Amino acid sequence: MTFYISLSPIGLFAHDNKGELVDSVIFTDLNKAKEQFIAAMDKQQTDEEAQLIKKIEKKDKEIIFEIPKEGYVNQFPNISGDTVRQNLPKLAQSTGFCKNPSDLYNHIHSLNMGITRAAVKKASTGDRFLIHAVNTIDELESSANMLAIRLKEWYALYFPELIENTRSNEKLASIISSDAHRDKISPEDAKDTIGADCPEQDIIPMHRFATEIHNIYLHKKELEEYILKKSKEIMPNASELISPMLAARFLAIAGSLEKLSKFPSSTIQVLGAEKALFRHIRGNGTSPKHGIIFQSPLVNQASRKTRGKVSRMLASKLSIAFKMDYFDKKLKGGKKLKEDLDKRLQNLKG
Amino acid sequence: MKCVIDGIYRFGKDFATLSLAPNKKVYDEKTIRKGKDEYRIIDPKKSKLGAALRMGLKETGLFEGAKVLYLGIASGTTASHISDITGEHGLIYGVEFSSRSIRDLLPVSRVRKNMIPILADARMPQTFASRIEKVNVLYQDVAQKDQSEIFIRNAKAFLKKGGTAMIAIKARSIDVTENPKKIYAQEKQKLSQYFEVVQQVTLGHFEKDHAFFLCRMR
Repeated sequence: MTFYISLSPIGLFAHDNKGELVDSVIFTDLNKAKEQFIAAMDKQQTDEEAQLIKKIEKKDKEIIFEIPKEGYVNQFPNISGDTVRQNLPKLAQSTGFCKNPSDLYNHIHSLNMGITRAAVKKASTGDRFLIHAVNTIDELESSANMLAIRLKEWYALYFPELIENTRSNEKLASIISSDAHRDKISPEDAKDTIGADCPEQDIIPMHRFATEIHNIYLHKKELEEYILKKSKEIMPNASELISPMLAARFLAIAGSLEKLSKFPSSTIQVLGAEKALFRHIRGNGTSPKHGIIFQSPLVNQASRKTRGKVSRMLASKLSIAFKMDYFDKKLKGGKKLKEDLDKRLQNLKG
Repeated sequence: MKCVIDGIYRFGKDFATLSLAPNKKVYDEKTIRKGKDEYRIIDPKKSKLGAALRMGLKETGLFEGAKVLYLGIASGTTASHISDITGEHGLIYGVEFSSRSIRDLLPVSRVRKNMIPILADARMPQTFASRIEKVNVLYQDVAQKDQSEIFIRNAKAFLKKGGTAMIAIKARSIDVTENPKKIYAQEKQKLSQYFEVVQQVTLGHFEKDHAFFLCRMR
């Protein structure tokens, strides 16, 4: 005959295969129960479990746990867990764990709150920080460009020649923010400008605005440095194959390093090309050859004919690298992967 | 105002629940005061239960004092209304896999003692089984490919005999390319092996390509 053991918020129970209670170990009291329960969720055997097993082992039977436990078979759901979950309030009273149901439910509430709070704390890992940084870069870029358009229109009233001669928004913001007076920026152009002459009070707000935009660009550069560093830390192996920035973008699309590590290489190959992929699955159009993987120079500098192949090879190596990065960062396989890839690329050319 | 289903009141075309925690909004729901009582309107655009009611759901199986297992509780929008219905003697075990959503749920469940947050994967009931008990009602909204299988597995483990089970099926999570009607039929068949499907409503314009099934455990 077999005995089944289950864990509950009030203690441990053992039942026989007919669902009859054989024995139990009830947690000491409401205060201690939390600790004892959390310990029992682990694979390692706790004192309470040892106590229960000792009690029933005299009867010399096979023991089956409901949750994984080192050295024992487990089965879910088992008859013991089923019976306990069916009668929890009754059991709590009859075993003397607590006097009334409301005590039991307050206990279950606080037990779960504790476990969940700890789990939430643990879930905020380094990759989450990196993801927000990547998304922030994109947002800074687009807002800076939007504000720069306004600056161009505004400043062109005063000194249109500068706008004409400066292509880059970033540079423009930098010039105006250092000094907004046109005769300081370019005395030659300023001499016969078609821009309006205006008093100091009109120049000050433009200067202030340009400074703001300039700061956004500076901030973006700082963030890029942070991402580079952080990405190398979190994904050292993937960073050997592609730029750390691109690795971080992969992470941002996937949502977490765990998810990324579980993607097959075919998914990695087309990550970022969802629109084309689903169009293909619906039956219109060809399958995409590459998603954001295209940003790697290996892919975008390959000849048109081999791009698909290169992107497939790179994706397959990347999928291995992401797995190393997630499961064990100490694995230094990135270099080897890169060498293998280079060899294969050579064959492709030759 | 009329009580149409256990714990659910009707104001014109809107459905509402009597708030368990007056003056404490959970999301930006509309509220109606009647003397001391505060009724919270279920927003059909934010809650699939609300949408199903608007689309003609006749019962919910929820009652005062009911124990509920809610898979995919997210930040507790729908669950807060269920918490109103089951009242302080009822209980909702809310399982959610996203730590981001649970973070929003924690403050809600601090106020509403009948909501119990559990960060776990609904696919693996063995990971949270020890922390809960059997329930009268199972409610699931998880938008996963294998959502019917998850539903059946949890119902078998945790739903009392004769208990009610509700599931929101998102066709686009099962297969983006297939015709939703075909998917509903196929999922209904899976459910019929274990449940009596009491009612099926589509959620219309409230939630695109969604169907809501009300089932009873055999």
